[in-house]
Amino acid sequence: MNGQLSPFESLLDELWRWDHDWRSDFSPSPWFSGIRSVRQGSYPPVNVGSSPDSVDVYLFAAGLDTDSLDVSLQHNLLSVSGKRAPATEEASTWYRRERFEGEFQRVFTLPEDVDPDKVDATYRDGVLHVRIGRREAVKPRRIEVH
Amino acid sequence: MNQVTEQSRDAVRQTGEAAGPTHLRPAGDIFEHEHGITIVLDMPGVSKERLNIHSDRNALTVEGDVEISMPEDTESLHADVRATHYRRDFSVSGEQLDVDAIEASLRDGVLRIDIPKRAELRPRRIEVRTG
Repeated sequence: MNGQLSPFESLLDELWRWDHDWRSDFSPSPWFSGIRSVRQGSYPPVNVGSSPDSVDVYLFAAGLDTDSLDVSLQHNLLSVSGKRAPATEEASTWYRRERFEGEFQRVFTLPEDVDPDKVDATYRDGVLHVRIGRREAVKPRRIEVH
Repeated sequence: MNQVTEQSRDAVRQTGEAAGPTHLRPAGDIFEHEHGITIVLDMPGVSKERLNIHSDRNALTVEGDVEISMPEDTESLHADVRATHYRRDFSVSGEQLDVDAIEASLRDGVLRIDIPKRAELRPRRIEVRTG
């Protein structure tokens, strides 16, 4: 009952993380299997969705200073970097310190048909949403045979 | 001051199971300062309307749901975040902390919960008079 945080809890955490990493190592996302792929656990966590009109990248990064954010797209390479400041200077004793601090960068290879001129980024409730439009599909052209 | 620090060491403890596939365990900072204990949790994607904090004399539970707008026909290409429900439980020592005076604020997905120490446990500055 006494003492600090339960040792079992941190052990469970560790097991969960281990299990999670292990599974992700053996079931890699085919889309992220290039040389730029990163291990799960990189900050910030990211979800990417694809629809016929756009590719939507969601970065789960709470408490960012949007001035520190740098989002750039070169051809189909999306790079997001930023910095997160420590939450406080006032602490006299820390019991847990799990939140990410410092600089981060993540780079993604997007599908080839994204249009670098159609990028829109919004930050809301701690989620950075980058929407990249797709190029108009090349319409099939009928070739007349004379 | 020392005594307060020692006592408060158990004042906020974490309870509950570790994160599982069904819910997300928000990363947290917990620290003590002169006036009380502060818990800071990362809950990106959660708005004020979808956040719930329950507290009683000995327990504090934080829950929230992620809401993000996605176009229709979206197919997932990659997902680090595979659940939409956050939950984390703490046990709180009502003897040392004033649970009726908990204050919480949410900004850009960061939840800050301040639990003040009971007045009698706060450090008091004692004026030394001369003369």
